[in-house]
Amino acid sequence: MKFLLLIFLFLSSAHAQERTWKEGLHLFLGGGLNLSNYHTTGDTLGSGLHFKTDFGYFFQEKWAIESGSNVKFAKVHDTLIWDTLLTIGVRRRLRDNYYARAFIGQAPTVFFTHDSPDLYKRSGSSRILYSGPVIGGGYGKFYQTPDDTVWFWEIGGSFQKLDNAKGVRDKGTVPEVVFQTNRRAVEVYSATFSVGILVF
Amino acid sequence: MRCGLIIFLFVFLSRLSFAQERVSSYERMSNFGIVYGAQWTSYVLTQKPTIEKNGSLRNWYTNLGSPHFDNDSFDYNIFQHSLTGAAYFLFYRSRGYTKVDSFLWAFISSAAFEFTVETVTERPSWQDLYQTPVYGTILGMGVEKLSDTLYETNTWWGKTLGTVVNPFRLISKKKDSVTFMPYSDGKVTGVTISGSFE
Repeated sequence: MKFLLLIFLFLSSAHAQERTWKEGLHLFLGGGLNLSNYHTTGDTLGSGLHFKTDFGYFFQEKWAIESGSNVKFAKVHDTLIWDTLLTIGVRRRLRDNYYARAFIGQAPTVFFTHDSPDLYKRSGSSRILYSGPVIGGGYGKFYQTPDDTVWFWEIGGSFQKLDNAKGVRDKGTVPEVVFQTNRRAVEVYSATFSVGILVF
Repeated sequence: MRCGLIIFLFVFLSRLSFAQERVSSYERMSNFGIVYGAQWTSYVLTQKPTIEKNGSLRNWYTNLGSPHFDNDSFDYNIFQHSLTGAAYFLFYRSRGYTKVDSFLWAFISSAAFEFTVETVTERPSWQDLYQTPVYGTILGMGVEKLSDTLYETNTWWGKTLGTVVNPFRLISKKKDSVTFMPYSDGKVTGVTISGSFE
């Protein structure tokens, strides 16, 4: 019922359009920097680059429903961490082309262990996969250049809880799980800064 | 989460009916069928050992309803799926679809592959469902722009390179075209290829 009400809310908005918030299907591409804190028994900071895409339907006045991916890389000690935040969410237009957004989803996260002398290396796995939920939000602003290019900046934050660790190695083209364990969950708090453009 | 996803897909796909003015229904189904046929062909040709080892009809329908997050490598999930998605996008562009429509049909073709082709050997992947059409569209738009820039130099090398970069120019409705005509007289079997270029 709540979801039906939400749909009704989205579909019923009908007011004047502005050029940076056009009704229709849109795809955004961006990239930037991220800073993450990995919390297990202690805290470890990692930072790196990320690139993000969001596509969604923008309704006329204030709302958009969207799906996004944020592919983040971070280096922590000798381990490269690659996580992909696959999310769905809503975006709300604020005044002066500012916007806020909220999302939930899943975040398959990979720890590359090639150079890491931890216990996983002994299992013969080349990477460790975690999965778990993610929740987050963002705040940003659209701009329009004289040649009609729309670009944006956005600051964002997310929280991931990763568990279900799987050690994986590739057997030809097929990934093979060599062990699976429910270790203590890793909690990841991330902050991102992104700049990007409207693709269409 | 699942309810939210279903609602998102419902709203997203319901917009398809508003986005299809330039291509007739018959052409849309034909183009989708061409891509679908190509998907089955390339899947059988490239995954034959995996299909023989792990594939089954039972997998084909039981995997359909159980998408998951896959364990694939970075190379597969980011690069190879982007290339595949770009091919879908550029094919639909070459058939006269707008950028948005090409993206939507790349999304549909990708979902068709995940849910009705690849299920012979594995479960549908959430990453692939998103990344193939989205990253593919972004890559495809870049490839198309590069190809057009090369082609617009109006030189033989520019046109050649522009076609190499985006081979789908050859089946374009609007630009250049190429026709394949099978031939057989009982002794000789072959294909006559004819092309026309602007």
